Amino acid sequence: MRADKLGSAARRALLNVGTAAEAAGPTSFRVLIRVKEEPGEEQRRQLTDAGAQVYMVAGDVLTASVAPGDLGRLTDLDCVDYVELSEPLHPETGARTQKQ
Amino acid sequence: MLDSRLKFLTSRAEEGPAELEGLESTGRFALTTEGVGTPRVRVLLRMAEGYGADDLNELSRHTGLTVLTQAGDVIGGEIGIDRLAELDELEAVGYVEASRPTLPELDAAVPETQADKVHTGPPGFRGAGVIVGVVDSGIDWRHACFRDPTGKTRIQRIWDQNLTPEAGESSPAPFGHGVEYQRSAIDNALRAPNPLSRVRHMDDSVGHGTHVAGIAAGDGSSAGNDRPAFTFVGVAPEAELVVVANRVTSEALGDSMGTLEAVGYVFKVAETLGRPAVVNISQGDNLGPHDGSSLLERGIDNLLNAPGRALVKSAGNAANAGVHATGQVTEGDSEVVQFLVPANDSTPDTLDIWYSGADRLSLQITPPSGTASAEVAPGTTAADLDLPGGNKAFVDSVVHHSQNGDNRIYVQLSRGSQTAIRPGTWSITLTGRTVADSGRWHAWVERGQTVPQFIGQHRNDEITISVPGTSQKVVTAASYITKGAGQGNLSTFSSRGPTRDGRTAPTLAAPGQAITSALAGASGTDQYQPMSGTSMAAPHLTGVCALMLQSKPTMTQEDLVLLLTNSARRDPFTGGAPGNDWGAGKVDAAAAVNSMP
Repeated sequence: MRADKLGSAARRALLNVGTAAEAAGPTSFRVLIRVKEEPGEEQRRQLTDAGAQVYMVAGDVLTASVAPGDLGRLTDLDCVDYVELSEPLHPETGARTQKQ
Repeated sequence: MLDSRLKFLTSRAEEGPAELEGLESTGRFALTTEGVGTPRVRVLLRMAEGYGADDLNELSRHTGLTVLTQAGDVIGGEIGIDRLAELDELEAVGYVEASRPTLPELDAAVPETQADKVHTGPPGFRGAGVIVGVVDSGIDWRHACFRDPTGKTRIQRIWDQNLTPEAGESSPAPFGHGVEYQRSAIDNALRAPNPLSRVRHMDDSVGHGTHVAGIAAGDGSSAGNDRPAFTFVGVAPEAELVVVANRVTSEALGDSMGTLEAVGYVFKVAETLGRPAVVNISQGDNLGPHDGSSLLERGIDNLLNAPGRALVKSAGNAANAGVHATGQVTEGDSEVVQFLVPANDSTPDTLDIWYSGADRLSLQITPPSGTASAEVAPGTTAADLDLPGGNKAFVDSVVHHSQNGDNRIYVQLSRGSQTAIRPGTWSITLTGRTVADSGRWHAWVERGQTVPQFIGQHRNDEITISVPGTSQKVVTAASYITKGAGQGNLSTFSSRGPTRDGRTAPTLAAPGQAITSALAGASGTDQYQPMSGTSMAAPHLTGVCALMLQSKPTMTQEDLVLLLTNSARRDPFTGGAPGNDWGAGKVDAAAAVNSMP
């Protein structure tokens, strides 16, 4: 595990998984991944082998889901620079109610 | 303090109910006298500095104020006229003014942007052939404002990220989640006896996305709200829409991953159709480096690397909201930064602190009336920091962050063994262990339903533009007032720049206060509703970009920014030079289109 490649929220989430894993079972994280350059076939294969399901490529930023237990293998890849947990966004208007 | 109009109404109330009924009948006062025991008046209220959402709940209970809307520290609500004096006496209340009946607004806002002149030309541009992408809560696709003159939908695609495919439905490739509806499916559903059984997507009960879409690309063809058809015409009324409904929860509208995918999806659909596209994002977050290096911002910038692609983002409603603090620490000295935690705050609270990579700051946390925690040294992580009183903290102090070389201290408070995070005044103490640069630090607090706010000398309203609005490329929209009190002024809630790395922001301003646009769940004469926020300013600029892209489909985001800023109007409200409140000034669609090469 290259913890220096993990964002703070991801490190925090990993701790939560550690304490809740037996009760809740494995979950997957929604993440954004920064890679050294737009990935070619070889890098995509490496990412998949490391447990990342890649959905979209936006240049050197990827969206993916990954099981907590696979984050270590993912951050060990040379092509991976940084992994950030997907963060919530909020509407920029007045009060809002929950979806019905 | 009550405004003069409320004082007048209070004095008239003493004359008896008939007096107020007479005033209500003039249509010039926001009064309700029928069906209520005591006449009620609609008011706008500004919270006093240091008071927030939790105080509002208490205030509401205490005075009977019904809260109808909230934009930063400004609350819209209704209250019995006999309770105004009590409201006025509360310390949490800064100012109360009577809501003033205004003319419905999109009909006024579009001329204010000069877009109506672009519609008529010659040559006239109304957005035809351009894709307007709306990444939001969704859309009420049944609304007549989103159809063409033959009754067919102008919505090319809807991707609802919340839905799971059922028989006959599928997720868009390569995303593998949610349900995609194509134009033909929407048209079939519009002809069906039970449309929602064919297209299961629907905007939520607030209708934020429908409202935003109506501003950018509604055609106003529904008569309603006592106005004839084509009163509430949007900025690009002939554009076609691609709508992505974010994952919605009670706490959030989507997340960074889903939003980046949504932007990529809109551009992919537009590319398939051979069209230029402009995407609107009216959502954001306070956490992040505020220098464009968050991965959502970097990913968006990467997607804006081709001609015919543009993106507009709301600046945020965080001015006067206590979401940002800043200060400067010297080597060996400390700064104590205060923040107020509301009652019943049981969800984790996150503070995000950024400072120069050349400095080293340590951190301690002090709960209300408590002693300071252990010190967290730069470059270390305290995974389970015990705080006096039973709360806990996760503190991740990172030196030389891999994305920008700066240092970050990420603090997440949690309730620990308690039922909630202790309410009251907390502080963080930042100590300069090494100060080789300026010692300047910035801190932001995450948004949510019940969250802390900074108080005291370090609270600062600058650098409050929300992520991804601090991207290197996006157009960031500030909000200004186009009707009623304060007409011409910047909205008090509109987030201020610059970015943390010193770039001027927002980009420019557009109408965003009390804007009337399409209503989700419209029926009968109720077809439109008013909303306020930079969420409403952004789609005005999105619509203007669509008009410009119709004129020249190969324009790049950089071209659009240059034309929009060079053509922006400046007046006594904006001042003579670009700045970090208005950006370049007020949008002028006609000047922008006319200045195109």
